[in-house]
Amino acid sequence: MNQRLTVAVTGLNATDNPGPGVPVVRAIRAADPNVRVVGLGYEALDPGAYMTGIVDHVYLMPYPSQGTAVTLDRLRAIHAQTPIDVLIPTLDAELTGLVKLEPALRALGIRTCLPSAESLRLRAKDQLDQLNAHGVRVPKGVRLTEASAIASLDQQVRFPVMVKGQFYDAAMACSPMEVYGHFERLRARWGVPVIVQEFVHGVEFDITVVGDGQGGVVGAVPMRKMQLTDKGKAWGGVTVADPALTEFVRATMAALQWRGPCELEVMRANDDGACHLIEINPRFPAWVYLCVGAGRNLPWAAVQLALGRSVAPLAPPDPGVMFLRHSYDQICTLADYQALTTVGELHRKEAAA
Amino acid sequence: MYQHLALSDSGFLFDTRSGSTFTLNRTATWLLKALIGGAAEADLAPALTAQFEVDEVTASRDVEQFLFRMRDLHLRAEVEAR
Repeated sequence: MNQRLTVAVTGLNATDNPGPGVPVVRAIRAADPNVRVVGLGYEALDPGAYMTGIVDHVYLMPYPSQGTAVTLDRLRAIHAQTPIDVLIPTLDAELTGLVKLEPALRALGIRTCLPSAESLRLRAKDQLDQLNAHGVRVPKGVRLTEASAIASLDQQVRFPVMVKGQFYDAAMACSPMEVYGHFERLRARWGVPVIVQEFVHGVEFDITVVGDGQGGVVGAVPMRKMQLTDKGKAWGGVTVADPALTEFVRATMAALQWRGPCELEVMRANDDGACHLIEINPRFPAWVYLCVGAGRNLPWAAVQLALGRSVAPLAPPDPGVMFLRHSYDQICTLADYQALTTVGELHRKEAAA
Repeated sequence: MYQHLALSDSGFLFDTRSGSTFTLNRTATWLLKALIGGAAEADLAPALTAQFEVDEVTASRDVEQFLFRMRDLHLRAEVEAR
């Protein structure tokens, strides 16, 4: 291992639905300012690449859709130039490939904190309701691969329903006709299956969790959104302390045997107060810096686990820690943009260790 | 029963379980502080009459409305469950 810990983080993109890379880096730097950070981006205009004090080196990556061999070649080349100790991916589309590449990365000396292929399969939107068999309540779901199946939907699920793309995007539908409209749009954008899930009337909570891979929880920070973007993304939130939610997270992680970071989206039903698992995102959420404010630095815990160090389970955080997101216009140099567009990498002068 | 509710003297209420926040008027703040402090709901109206210049009928009605409102806002879940 290098004398100075080097952590590579993906997801430097930022729109009104920002990637989690920058907050993950901020959390790591909050734990240890001496860490060397390598940012892995997909576009020369990823704003995180240009922010002062975030990444020391930036490399552009091929998109995951180009396959694991291409990804591994690129990581090998980057690693030869800037040796990486730990890689923390933060984008959904990266996970399947990196889980496959985990042995090859380990052989190179790049450590990760990733779930098993089986855990990752179970969290897929069209597989999620299998967790009902493990005692984790998940709303009834139907996989749609063709429009002809929509007509009989009202015999299989109770309306209203959420219609979800297999990777992103969701919309509510109150009738099969409305499902049809959403199905065509989601199929065109994300392919099939499109997932139809019964809607739970209640309050949504989001919990970022790090699992130990043995069914245990290393740490979890539950949050209630206080304000949303028009895409429903959190633009402000507050930590909560609900023993029922804590127990639900414990049961879910025990069922999944999840290793590493994830985000659980949970609805607490208005009628009986029961928790329902709506979705699992297989990485840290963009609001993960709230963990640092809450005194539970989960990105740093993931780095420690990747390094093979044990991390004592973190107690639930205090309720009432708030975050409000902000965006601002940063001035960038054309030279930095030129470096990323022409050679696909950018190197900043590192602060002395 | 009400230990999950954090209430400031100014009437700002934070439900630590749900993350919801509320602003209470002076009377509601006084009533909820009494409940958090362990007062029984049946004792609220007499206590209100003793504390404020209000007759018993009005106090009873106000307390009843206050408790209904608490339930509407899911702040009395455990009372409902019993």
